[in-house]
Amino acid sequence: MGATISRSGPHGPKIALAGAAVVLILAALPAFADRATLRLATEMAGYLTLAVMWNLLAGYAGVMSIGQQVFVGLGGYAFFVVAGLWGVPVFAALPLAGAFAAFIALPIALILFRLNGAYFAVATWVVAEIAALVIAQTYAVGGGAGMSLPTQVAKSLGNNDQRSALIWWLALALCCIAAGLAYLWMRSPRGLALMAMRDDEIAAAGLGVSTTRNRIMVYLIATFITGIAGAILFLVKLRISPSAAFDVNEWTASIIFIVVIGGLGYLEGPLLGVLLFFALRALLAGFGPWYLIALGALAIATMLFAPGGLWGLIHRRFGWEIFPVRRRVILTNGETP
Amino acid sequence: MDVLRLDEVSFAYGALCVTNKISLTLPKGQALGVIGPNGAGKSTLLDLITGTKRVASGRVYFMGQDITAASPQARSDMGIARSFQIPRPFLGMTVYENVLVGATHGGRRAEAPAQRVALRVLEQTGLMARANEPASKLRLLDRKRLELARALATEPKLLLLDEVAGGLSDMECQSFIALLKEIRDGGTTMIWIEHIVHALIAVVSQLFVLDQGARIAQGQPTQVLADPEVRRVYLGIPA
Repeated sequence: MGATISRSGPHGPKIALAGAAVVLILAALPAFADRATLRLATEMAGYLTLAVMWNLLAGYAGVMSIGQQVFVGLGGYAFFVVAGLWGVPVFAALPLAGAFAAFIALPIALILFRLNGAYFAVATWVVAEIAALVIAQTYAVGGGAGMSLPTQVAKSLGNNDQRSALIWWLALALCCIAAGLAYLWMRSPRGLALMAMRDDEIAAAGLGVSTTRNRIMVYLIATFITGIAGAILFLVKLRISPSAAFDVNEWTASIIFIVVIGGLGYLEGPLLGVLLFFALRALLAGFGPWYLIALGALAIATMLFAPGGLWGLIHRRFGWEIFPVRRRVILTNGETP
Repeated sequence: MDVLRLDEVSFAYGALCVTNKISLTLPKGQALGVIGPNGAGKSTLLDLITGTKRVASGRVYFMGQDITAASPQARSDMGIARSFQIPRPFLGMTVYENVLVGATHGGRRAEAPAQRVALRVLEQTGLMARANEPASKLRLLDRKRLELARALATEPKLLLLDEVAGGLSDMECQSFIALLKEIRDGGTTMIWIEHIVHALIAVVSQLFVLDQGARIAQGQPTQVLADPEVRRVYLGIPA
């Protein structure tokens, strides 16, 4: 009895084509959308990038960080320093911002990965608060008041329309890179190892999985991308301050909401989650604090009644997959066991 | 060459000595059975060999190399694999993916050759029909098979089995015995902890009896089982 392995989902080529079409339409957005729409789209792409990375950490690597805002903030500040104070061109400053976030992430990982579960989660938050306090005391970057991006940096990206379009393309590109990276990672043997570690770390180590190294690698990649996303999000705002840069609600609670509601542990989850999050935000904007209470209630209900989120429900019902990372055995007589 | 050598290995939980100066030599190709009452320290002995627990004193040698300080992952790389007494499948993954973890990471293989190993092991352990099922859906027998399959997929030089036959029906037990004989005859060195003595002695050529962390007997299965001390400790028969 022979067998082969199938990696594509039921409608692989069709989905790939549809995905490429969507990205192309999005790339053409500046041709027909106004600046406010572009700004919103840029923000959505930034959130989606953060959500994809948080999902990779929490949903696949079992790294429950509630302190990812530290890398958004550090990425943003690094960008403002490198591009604003040192005058490095924007396109070079963005990867440098990501690299700075990952550079800071390495010692954090080496220390915090000794902690498990809730202890790790709390520790990541503490680290983020410490970083916010340190930045607020650093007068070279404006202390508690923060700093603005010098106008010549903004001008280097062209006039207002050109700048909005350019930043949107940057955000879209980063988002595609993040999703592509997560997809390729999860399809590879490294991704297999991550899933095994998440399910049972002792058994995974016993089967030869280098648990610590794998976890640190995925953490560094996630923080690199998160740092660049932070840089882009604050490039849009043209202003950064410690309270905005290290905001746990904005950069972690919202992101967790997006991932949980969309489907933790499904690469498709954040896509759905980010659409829902922005729809709810627009709908409930007039209700003040009720907006956050409603989001919280919805997230709790999802965790209780649909732990796989919306995409989990869809996947179980219809078997749809946009990013097939799983492996299916197919016997050579054409049957699946 | 000896595959495994334990040199006065000890382990303790605080004041409770769970493994007390155990020495053991395992030549290549030998199948060693380990018996002993509950709490004798049998599973702990396997933990010390795989590195899940670190010895408090003594040395562990594998293929002539001192591995006392090596990590579980390094020991897996060198060729030690185990199945857990209480199966620990990766519940969110399919049966095939579970086995593939061992084949890629334990075997240090690229995915394509690992695929072939994983499929062969699924065939060998009778799990092919369940290859695409999530491991969370398996019954006990299949979970035990999966434990064994994952370990085999690393193509180990030393296979450690912890009560793989416990809780199985007679029929299931017979099929397991046949499978283990096949693995033994393929030249894999193994240590098998088991309470079902008739299954054990159908496969192993040596018995090792543990009580309260210490060795009380070792040798030919029939001789060991006839030993009055073993009968008293293990079978509860007064000497």
